[in-house]
Amino acid sequence: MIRFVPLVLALAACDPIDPMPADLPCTEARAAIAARTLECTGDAALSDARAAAFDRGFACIPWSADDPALSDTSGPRPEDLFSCAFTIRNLPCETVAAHGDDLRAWLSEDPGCTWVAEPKSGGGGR
Amino acid sequence: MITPFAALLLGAATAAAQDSWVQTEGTGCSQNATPIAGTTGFANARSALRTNAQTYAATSWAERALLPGAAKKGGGFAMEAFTMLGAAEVASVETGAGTDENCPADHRVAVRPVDLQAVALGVVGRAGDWSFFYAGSTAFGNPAFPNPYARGMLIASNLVYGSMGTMAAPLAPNGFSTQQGASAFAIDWVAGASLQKKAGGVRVGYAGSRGLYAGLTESRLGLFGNALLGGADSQDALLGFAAAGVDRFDWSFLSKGIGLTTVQWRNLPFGGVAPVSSAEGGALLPDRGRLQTARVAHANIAGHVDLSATWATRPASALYEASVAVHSKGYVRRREATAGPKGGTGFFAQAGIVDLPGQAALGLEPKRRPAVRLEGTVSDFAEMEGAKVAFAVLYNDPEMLALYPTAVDALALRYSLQVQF
Repeated sequence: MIRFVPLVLALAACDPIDPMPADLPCTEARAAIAARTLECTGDAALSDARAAAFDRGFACIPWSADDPALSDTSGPRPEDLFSCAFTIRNLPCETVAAHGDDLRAWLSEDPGCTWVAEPKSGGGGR
Repeated sequence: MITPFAALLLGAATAAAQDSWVQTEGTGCSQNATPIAGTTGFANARSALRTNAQTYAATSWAERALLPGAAKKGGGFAMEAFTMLGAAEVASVETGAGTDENCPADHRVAVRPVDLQAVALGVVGRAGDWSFFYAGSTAFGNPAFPNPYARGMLIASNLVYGSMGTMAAPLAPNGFSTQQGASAFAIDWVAGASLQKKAGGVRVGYAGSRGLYAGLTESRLGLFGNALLGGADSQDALLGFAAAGVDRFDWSFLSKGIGLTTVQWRNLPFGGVAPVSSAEGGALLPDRGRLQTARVAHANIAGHVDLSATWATRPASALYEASVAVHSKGYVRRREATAGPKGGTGFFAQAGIVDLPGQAALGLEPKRRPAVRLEGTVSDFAEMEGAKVAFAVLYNDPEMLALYPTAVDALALRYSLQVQF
């Protein structure tokens, strides 16, 4: 049992869970584009390039528990904001190839993407 | 001296104290949150679970920890327990958020760490040049309990139940026995025979997770190579690894104090990032990729200093590690000896840096992090010659991060025991 002493002490100093970061649904959508690109093309550089293009072309819409749109019972629950990432992660490779570098097309695949990211002024996203 | 019982009492007391420095916000949330499929954390957690099972596949562990130092006498026993806190972080839904003082409404979706564990046991019996061995392993992982005390107790009890499962491994279904959400359980075993001659040795065996296993060692230069031969394409096969190189080449024939050189190429199965359609359905496990590393190390300089550098060439080519370590005299293992000093205690302290590449697909940003590895051993205790207990604490250890790229700033603990008889 002595071996568990450092474990118990280490855990005592841990903060086990954190609330969702305000931009997590957005960064998940970004990562989903990168992941699906990597999985379908095997091209890690292209995967990273599309994530960088997302950063240049889109701004994250931060989530807040106090957002009136979210407190409205007809609005999305916080977990619903991940539908954008979920849909993108399950796109067929044919769709991934068709959308290519057109990130607006990627984000048009799920209506929930409008909750998490918006084009930066200047018409980014491509 | 802090006794285990006192530590548990301390944990229980702090667990009961609301809003203390231990009972922070979020600790009142339940264990049964639902991981959100489609997130990087979900994919990364499943990859980490598979990697843990592969790392502690019976073949991998036996080759790494049981066979090299065992059976110097008539036989030997070895066990190892591994815990990693926070190998990945998973966004999860807690529907009860807002109903508990320590689980406020903004914790409805929270990021939760996934803890990994493994237990491995093995025995070797020797008859002349022949040795016969058995090794079993159990690897598992799950999202952590939000309450630190409950988290620690779950980890402690998991190690006990894991030991039981490991001993009965041949009787259980091998490979991933269960898989649900961001949790997994895997069990494996290997049994075989080894013939050791002065010039080298050969090992053959059968691994429960489907595969014939073979290994070769060469004694003079330390050349080695081994692989699991079957089951490569099976979804539930827990592959070990392929490795080759020169292990601790001893320059003492030139001059004492030069040290031992290792050059190692290694190719490991590596959990992939392929998506699943939901937590319950679809493909249960992500596809495998391959991790390939090249390592150059020079150990035991002047009897006390080690240098090491590692490059990963697949799946990403940018992982780089450089470290320096100091250790007690006699700590570094030689091929012809068991690890650690002969008798008494030993220590090993390594510090370095790791350059972690950004991997957008995994949700990782480029980082440079400190790396620390601390090890301690006690040998030949309780009048048992050939017995050794070792404990290791790993923080951003390069080898660990190569296997678990999302385990940045995770803490890993490893405990092992060897007995020769």
